[in-house]
Amino acid sequence: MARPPANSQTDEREAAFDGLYAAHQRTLHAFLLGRTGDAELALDLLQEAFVRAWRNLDLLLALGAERQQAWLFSTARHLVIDQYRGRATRTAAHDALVAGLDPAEQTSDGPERIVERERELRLVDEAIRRLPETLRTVLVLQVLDERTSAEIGEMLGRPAGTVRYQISQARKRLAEELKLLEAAPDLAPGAASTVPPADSVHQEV
Amino acid sequence: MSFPQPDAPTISGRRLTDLLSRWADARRLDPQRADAIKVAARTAPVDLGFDWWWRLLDPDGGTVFRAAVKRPALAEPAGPAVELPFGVAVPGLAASPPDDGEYQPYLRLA
Repeated sequence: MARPPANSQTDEREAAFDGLYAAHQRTLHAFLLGRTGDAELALDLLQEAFVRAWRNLDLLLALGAERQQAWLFSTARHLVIDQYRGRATRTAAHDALVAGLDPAEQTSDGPERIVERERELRLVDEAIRRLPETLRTVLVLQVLDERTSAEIGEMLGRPAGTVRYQISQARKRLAEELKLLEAAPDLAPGAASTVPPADSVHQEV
Repeated sequence: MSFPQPDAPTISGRRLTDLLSRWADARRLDPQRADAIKVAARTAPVDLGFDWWWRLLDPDGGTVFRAAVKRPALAEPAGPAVELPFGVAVPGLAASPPDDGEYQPYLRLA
């Protein structure tokens, strides 16, 4: 007996959505983490972006792959802006993310090494958070999503040469921030959680 | 507040790359979490925002009113027109039945 059309339609939609998600979630996550500098917030916004994708699936499926990505990026940008409009102050969510990591799954090193790794992660989190948003976004897309300068440039609408320069600037600034953080314990993560990001999120809309 | 030591060692390019690589490994979405987000996105309850309600109730072509317009016109009601106290004649509206205590309990209370 043939399956009811409603079920097969649902299956098709879910399969299409899964394909869309698999193709874009990693890049979108890197983009959102780069834009917000906040790991937990990036996950929340990633979910919300795909909630909207699911609700607009018919529209999205009618678009080509390139325009699907553009739609998702545009949605993500608006979510970031809405988020910042609704928040008077930012709070660092590094603790929540670190708490989500299971040290036993991460490594078989001893407790001292685990503590050292966590400290190192927090340090890099904080240093990345302090970068200007424009630099942070390209750096995170390169490091987390392993994208080339040309690909990042295409996504963000910037020339590849500009992206290369921005990545180099981001690394330089990051090295400086890490040096500062390592040398000054009271500037370390937690102590500086009220420091706002280096620039406003509205800068690159 | 203490200040950074002037002779603090510089982060080398190699060390920075290693740090970033380890950071990315830790921060990248693991498959379980990615899957959880996907399922949550598909099953999120619909939040009916203003636009949704407007499309439904827009007096000029809202879903509700489109349905009302499509309904076949009512036949002309039978019966004589009834004169309302304020001078409006409504065809087909039968005169109200006389006050009946059975259906107007407040009259009984009075």
